[in-house]
Amino acid sequence: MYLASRVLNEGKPVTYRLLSRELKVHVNVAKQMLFDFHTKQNAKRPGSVNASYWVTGKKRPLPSQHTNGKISQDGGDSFMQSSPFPSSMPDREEEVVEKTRPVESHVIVREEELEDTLAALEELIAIHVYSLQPGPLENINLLSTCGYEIRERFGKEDSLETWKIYGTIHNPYIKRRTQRVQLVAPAAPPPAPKVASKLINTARPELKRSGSTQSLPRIDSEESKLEKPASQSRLSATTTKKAEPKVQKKGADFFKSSFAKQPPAKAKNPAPVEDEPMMDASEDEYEEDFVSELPESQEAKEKRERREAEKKAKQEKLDHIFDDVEDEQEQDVTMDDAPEQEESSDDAPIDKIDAPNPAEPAPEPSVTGGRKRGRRQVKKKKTVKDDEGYLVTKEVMEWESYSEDEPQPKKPKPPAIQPPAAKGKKGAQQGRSIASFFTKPPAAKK
Amino acid sequence: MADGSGDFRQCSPFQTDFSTNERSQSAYTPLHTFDLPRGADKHYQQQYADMYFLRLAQLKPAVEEQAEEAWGSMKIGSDTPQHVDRVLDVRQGIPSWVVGTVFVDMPLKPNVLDDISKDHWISAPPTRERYTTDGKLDMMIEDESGRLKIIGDGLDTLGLVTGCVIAILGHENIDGVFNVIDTKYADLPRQPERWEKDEASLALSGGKVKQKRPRADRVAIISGLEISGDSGNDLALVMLTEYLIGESSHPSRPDGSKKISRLIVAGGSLAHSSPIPSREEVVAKKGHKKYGYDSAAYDASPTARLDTFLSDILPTLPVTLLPGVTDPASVAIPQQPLHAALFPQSRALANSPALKNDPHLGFDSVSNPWEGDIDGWRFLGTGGQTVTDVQKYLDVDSTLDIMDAMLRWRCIAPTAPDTLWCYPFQEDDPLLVKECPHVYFAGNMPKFDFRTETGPLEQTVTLISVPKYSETGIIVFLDMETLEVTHIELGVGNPKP
Repeated sequence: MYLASRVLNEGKPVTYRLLSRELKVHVNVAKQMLFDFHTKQNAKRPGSVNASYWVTGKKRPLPSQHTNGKISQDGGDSFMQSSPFPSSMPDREEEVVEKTRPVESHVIVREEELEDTLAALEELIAIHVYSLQPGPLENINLLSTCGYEIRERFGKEDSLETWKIYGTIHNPYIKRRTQRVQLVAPAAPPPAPKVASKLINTARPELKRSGSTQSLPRIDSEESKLEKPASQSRLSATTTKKAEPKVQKKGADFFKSSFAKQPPAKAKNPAPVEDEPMMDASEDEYEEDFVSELPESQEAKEKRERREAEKKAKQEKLDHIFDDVEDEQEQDVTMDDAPEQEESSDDAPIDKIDAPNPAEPAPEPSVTGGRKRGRRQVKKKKTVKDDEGYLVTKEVMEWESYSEDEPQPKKPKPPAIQPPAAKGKKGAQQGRSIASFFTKPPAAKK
Repeated sequence: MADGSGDFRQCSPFQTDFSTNERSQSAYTPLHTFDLPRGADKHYQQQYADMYFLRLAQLKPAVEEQAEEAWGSMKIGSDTPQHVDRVLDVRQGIPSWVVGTVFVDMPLKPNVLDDISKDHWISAPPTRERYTTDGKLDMMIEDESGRLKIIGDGLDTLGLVTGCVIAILGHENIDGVFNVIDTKYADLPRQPERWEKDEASLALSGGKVKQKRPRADRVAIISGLEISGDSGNDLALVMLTEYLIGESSHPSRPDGSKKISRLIVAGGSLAHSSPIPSREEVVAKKGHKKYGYDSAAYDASPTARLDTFLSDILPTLPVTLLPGVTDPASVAIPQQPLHAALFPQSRALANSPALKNDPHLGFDSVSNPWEGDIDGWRFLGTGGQTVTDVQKYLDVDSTLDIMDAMLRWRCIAPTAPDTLWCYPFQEDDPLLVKECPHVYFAGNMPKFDFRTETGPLEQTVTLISVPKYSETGIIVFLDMETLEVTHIELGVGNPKP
């Protein structure tokens, strides 16, 4: 039996949830199984299995000392306790009751504490075995490892489908994103950093990334090449897969240019630059990056839709054959695909420490790199004398065109407020080296 | 088991037939009141003075109305107090009333100039519990014309903070100080009817307006999960998951977790993840300073854990997630939604930026503060910074009093931009309360509390202060039909008597 091998032989704890996943049974059955096992094993050999319980009950938030003075067995005693109360300390008891209604409380307790816990409750609502383990738990938080285990081993199951088996509360109103939408924004961010690092390595090998990163990306790129044809053969998966490389490429362009700019920034020692502009900028980028998804994906969407239309026409017959089955598959596929791909992109940064972690917004500044040429809006200060003779300083947005090789004029960010002239050319350049990298995006976006 | 109790301590044969449970729908219309312009449209060069100007300009009529009503026909001695339009037009000795913005100067208030002189502005100034000291406190009222120092016996107890717009009644004494007898504030604004917004949009689209709506269930509000890298309170999070998805409790219980139709996380989901570390954190980290991205210092596990938590409950429970002071969102209010990149797993169930108002999808990462309609009721919620910051000015322990006052001042962040970081709004200030919410909640509060307040126009607001889950294990429930507030506690280990 699974329980015996897990708890007795392996010596690992098991919770009802894990058990229900392992055996594909309803959680409530699993709860009963745990208790059954616990009772029978301990009947055979007392103390061989230790349990913890999930106790639900009503509890007075701050029971007075007296309640716990006498440890009770159960119902009978608590009745005894409550009756002498009003007579002995009427005022205090009333106060407590008035201030605090009994609160429903859920506790996970060790077997050893169960009695006390039950005694402290006013009313027991529900109780079940939470977990079994070979011996008393020193740190009850260890039980959370079961949660992670469920996650690792059964995370792939679609919880939108499995609720029937496990008895999770079902919410018929929640659906996964439709494919259309899923392609637009969410798919884009995580793969992008990976592609970026790939491009850096292949396009500019002089960057001196570690050797491992160079070999890894190549494999990756091969994979993504392979992915495309493969996806075409697969009916249901096509939409997801096809669009992804597309978006990636877009993202890559961004990255390429932005990373190309980065080395000089790194080479110069940015020490004299205050932290301030950095923070400002990073805050910006965070938003920026969010924005950038929109226009970008819009394009991608259009292209993809066109292609989809063609495809549909071709394969409509086939589609009809699958009909309902396909629907289900489609859902499954999104589920399976998305985490997998994300996982791989998650893994990447762990291997190569240099690469930015996709989950973290901070490294995404790279998205904000500039383009070769364009127009940008620049804030300029104009000081004018107004009717009353006061000097009024206004900020005016002006358009100006620029190209990449041109040195960027004063950054429009706060540091610019400090008179740049005072610092002289050197100061200005140093400021630019890092700040311009961050501050350019708002302009470049236009 | 036959008696329907939740006792699962029984041996085989097992009971195996369990009814399936379905949640009811949570009608959900988020309002994007606090969304900032994106990208290049977002500027930080505007002067904050404009915010005060806007605030005064927008609130002045309402405050004047209240004051006129109260003091218009009032006699002080033989005189009727005059309404003076500008603060500087107040004449000595004449009883008058004037509307302006309060400014409170306190010795312990952080001062930008001090910080610069100490060259300390790399990190946030040390956070104080309170700015109050004994007695020493300068209060002024100002408008676009100038400032007027105000004194009065009642002022200390009133609980005025910088930034609130009030009317004061009194007279200027010989020292040029305004002696305040009475004050008035704008009080609660108009409150929309339940379902008003939904019905309006229905009427526009030609739908049936008075439709029969299903009975709404409860909304759960938590805050301060404070997921951190260490595994100290992991089990608490696991418990929360199991409770919310309904696997832990007996499903047939009428008021169990299946009656929850939405979860609101009111900030503080992650611990120590603010992009700008507090001074304490900076000190603790000292030693290895590295510019740029330091992958060694970055720990992805808290965000991963949060993502896991969300993706576990999302299939069964829609979630509205507000950022809080410790979350990796922007630091200035309104904090913008936590970025989708933080949630690789759960965002499959999220509203995409393109379809923000699609109510079918489960996960909505929203701004802080946040406003929206849930089951027809107007909700207004914050991650708690606004309240905590006001509390620093006052010797008031009840956060509900503060929340109540903020609604009556019609400004949910009066102390921004003075002591609370804030986006420099230029044309419109969303932090002003234009419509009175039905429910106003604040996360990360020191303790759980709630009460119902009523306004002059029969508005009723349920104020809820939501404590940190990581400290109290409290989940707050709000019945969406009666707006009754209840709570439960989740805990681990031996409950101390």
